[in-house]
Amino acid sequence: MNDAKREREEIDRDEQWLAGVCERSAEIDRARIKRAVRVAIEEQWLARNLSPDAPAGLSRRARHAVREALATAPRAGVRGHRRVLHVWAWIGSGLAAAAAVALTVFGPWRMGATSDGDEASTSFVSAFEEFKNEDEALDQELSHLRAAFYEFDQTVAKGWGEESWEEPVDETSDPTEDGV
Amino acid sequence: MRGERSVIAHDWAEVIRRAKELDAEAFDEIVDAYAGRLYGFFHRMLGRREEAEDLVQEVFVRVVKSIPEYREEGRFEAWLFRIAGNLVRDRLRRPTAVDAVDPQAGMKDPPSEKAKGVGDRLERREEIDRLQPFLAKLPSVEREAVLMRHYGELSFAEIAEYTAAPLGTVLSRVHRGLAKLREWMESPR
Repeated sequence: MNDAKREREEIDRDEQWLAGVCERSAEIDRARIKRAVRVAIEEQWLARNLSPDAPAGLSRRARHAVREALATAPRAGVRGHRRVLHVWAWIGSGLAAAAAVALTVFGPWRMGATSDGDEASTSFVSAFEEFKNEDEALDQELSHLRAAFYEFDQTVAKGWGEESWEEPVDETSDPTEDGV
Repeated sequence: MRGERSVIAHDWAEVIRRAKELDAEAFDEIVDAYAGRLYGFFHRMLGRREEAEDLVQEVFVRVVKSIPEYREEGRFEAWLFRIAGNLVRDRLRRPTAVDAVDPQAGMKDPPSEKAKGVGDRLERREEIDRLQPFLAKLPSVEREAVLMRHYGELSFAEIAEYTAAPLGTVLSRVHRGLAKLREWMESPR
């Protein structure tokens, strides 16, 4: 028997022995891991949809809104409707601002003029680090947030398909000859 | 472990496809299938339960982030354990980390409630606890190769690829590591 063959046989024999004295799986709190995975999924979803291909201004503004919304409510210890309202107030203002930024930067971005890779690839994790013990609540908030961003995304996507982002002309407000 | 794997054996490709679309339930299936094995790997590599739990969580977070890069030509669990191996190597390279695991780690952990009062389980537990200090005595490259085989079920070629070591070297590491473990475990106490 050559050395290589003998080596493989001894390995097989010893691996069978190890299987008899060492467990192959150990108990672990899977619920905790799944909560962390949920948060990571939401972060990834946001990252996919807002960076790095999204306009830098938009993603920066949206990140700020997310960070502020998530940082403020739990710290204040607000629960129930008040907490949700607080979060949504931040998110609402963030989305409104993000929409405004999207309108501003949309043109240059389409021409490839705006790309802030480092900034845009910043992880959302930093915004959530202080909520390690509130995974479940954070997950719920992120789910709401995901839905809100989805709607926002749809709205923006619809707008991107149009010919022009110029404001519609309001004929009733045309200045008169005397400027009034 | 075989039971764990069968949880997702019905349509693994479908689970991966859903995971790439960030389907939370697909990730639940992946966690159910592999968390226990990953935990065993980290615990035996480092000897610290809490740190092992954190690393298992970190593996799955990294999977979420990098699943788009996964190509199905390789085995998923080889890819998964490669992530785990890189994490554990990073941990061992830290200045505060020591190459050897905490030799008393297994002994310090109290038996679980289920194990209490169940003779055969307790006996097995004692065997596992005896193993831990001997694992700690192995060089980390041997320990990693042995545990990658045991928990990750990686082939020698897969271990050689991810450790960038020749196949013969990997075989020797596993051979030597197992032989030493067995000798130490079977020697009179």
